Amino acid sequence: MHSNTDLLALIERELQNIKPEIEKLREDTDLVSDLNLDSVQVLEMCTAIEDELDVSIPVNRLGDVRTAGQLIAVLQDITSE
Amino acid sequence: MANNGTPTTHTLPLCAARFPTLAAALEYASRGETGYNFYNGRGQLYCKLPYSELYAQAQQLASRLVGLGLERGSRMILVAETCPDFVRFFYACQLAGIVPVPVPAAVHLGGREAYIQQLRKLIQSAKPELAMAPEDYLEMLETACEDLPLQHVGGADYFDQLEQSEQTLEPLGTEELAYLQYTSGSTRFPRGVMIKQKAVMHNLNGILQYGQKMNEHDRCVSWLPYYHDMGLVGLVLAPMASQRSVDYIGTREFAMRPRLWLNLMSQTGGTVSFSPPFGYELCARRVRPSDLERLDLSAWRVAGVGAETIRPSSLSNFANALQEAGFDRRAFLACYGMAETSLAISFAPLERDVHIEYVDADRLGHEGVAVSVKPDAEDIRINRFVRCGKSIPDLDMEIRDSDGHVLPEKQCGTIFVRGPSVMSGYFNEPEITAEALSEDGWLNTGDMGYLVDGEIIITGRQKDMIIINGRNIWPQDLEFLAECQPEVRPEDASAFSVTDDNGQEVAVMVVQCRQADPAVRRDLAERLRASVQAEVGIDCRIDLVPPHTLPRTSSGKLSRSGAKKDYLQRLDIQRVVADSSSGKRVVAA
Repeated sequence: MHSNTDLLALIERELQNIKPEIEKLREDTDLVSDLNLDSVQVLEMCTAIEDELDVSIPVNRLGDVRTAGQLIAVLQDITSE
Repeated sequence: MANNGTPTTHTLPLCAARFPTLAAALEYASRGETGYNFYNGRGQLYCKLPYSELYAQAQQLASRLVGLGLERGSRMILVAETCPDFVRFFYACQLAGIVPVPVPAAVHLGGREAYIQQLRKLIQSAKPELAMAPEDYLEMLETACEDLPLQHVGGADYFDQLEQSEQTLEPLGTEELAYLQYTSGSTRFPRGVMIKQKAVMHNLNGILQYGQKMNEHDRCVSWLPYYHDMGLVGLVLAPMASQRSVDYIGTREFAMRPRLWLNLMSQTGGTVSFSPPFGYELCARRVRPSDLERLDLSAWRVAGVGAETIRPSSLSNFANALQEAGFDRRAFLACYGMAETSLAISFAPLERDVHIEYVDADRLGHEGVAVSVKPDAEDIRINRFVRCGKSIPDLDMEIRDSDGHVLPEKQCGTIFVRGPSVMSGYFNEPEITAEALSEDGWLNTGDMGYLVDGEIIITGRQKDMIIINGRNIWPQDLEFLAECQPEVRPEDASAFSVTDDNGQEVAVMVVQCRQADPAVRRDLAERLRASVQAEVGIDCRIDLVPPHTLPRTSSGKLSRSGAKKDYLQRLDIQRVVADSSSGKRVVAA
């Protein structure tokens, strides 16, 4: 089990690797409109998270994710399965 | 060598697509040992599907589809994820007399609603009786089909449980359609390219015999999406029609881990693979020094490159990065094509490094003439273009000016193509078809270019098309998103792409805004940017301008090229101001 805080820190770290100008991430940060990630960067972030947690994020789950908090919820869901 | 996938070589004599139909091609391929192989995101083989087995499975599924008693030529939507079920359903349709319609399998972050809307538009255009999606996409497909008159919508297992019919199979014939291809056209106004069996077979023969010169030792590798013409025709149909084995990884898996492509090429001794320039760029950026000792790319004979304007630097970056791993830059095969011609129009000669034309950019821009200059010429702006070779046999190519006159070599105009590979039209769109396809069979490609030594040089694709990371994005789709905002009226937005300082294409949208309050303006710009992100999955620069700023053409239409020119000028002025205020010396570009 990972805490939400751990996961948020992980996402923040991976995003900063991709886009160094990204600063503090909050659960309500909108990954799409606040951070202006393009689709290749989104996949880059997913790769890093998948490798770190050794999980695979199903493609259909991403369609509903907009905020960091929603991504954390998906990750909690698939790591507890 | 091929880590337990289907073998590379076998005793069945190679036949380069000399078949009347795809069904006949599959029947012949089923007599050999080669086939399709599927690898997961970790690069492990998870399914090996020899053509012999595929043919048997497709026949069984076809007899279930025939049992539904549909009218011949009915359409079936296939959400085209890279997986064995897609090819099984695609060929089952061929055998059952049903026209398959591959549609995108790609959802962006937060883009569920946008994807469902996109599917729904495609379904409304193709008017299918059947629709199939892999598990991950099924719920979205079902939502997209709500209230539409389809007979059966389901996953693969749903169709596999249907009753088999006793009827003899009557595959799609040479004068019937092979598939509908929705590569062309915008998301809002999709256009289904109708490709007859005889058209795709002609094109496959041209690709195999003239373009790649496929031989008995070839093996293909691909990550290209199955719903894209290059992925479907070039790397699903062409290998089957020449009885070669293919190794696949999913497009999303490639985008996540681009080095998987190179690993697979090395592991299986792949000789043929294609990609838009973007794929080569991505690999060049991600390759690590330790990869070079491990990878052996010396067998790579054909590294096809097409689908967007080819920037010479992206290819040389790849070749330089992977030279140590045995990659030979002469493998690059520049080609030109589009869904409307099945796939291929022209190929550069094999075993020639990319041939670059250096021309005077100002004379090309103002007079439309290609004047060669020395690569290191100073004091002038230089355009670098890649030669894309001569057209495949039986395809005629002409360059015409805006009045329809055929232009001589080295003069830039619109590219027209005629021949047996050309589409029969856009499905249910007689007016749009008539605009693109003349009665005497000439297709207006919408692309700009010129000829030199009979070889085509593309100077700009589909007037106004925005190409980001290998994806075609129609400006109309971005402008529509702007017009959905309450403050924005029709004809208030103009979208196009510009090349940034790093040589990357970026989307820009200039929007007329009546609000003066800076907070309101900032809010509008942010909303626009977010909506483009969610719907299209790209970053877009938003430039708000006062009303009546956007330039119009003589016929009163908004001019995207004019808007782009003005935008670049504004940018230059800003730069000069910024540079002079920071005390830097201004150097003219």
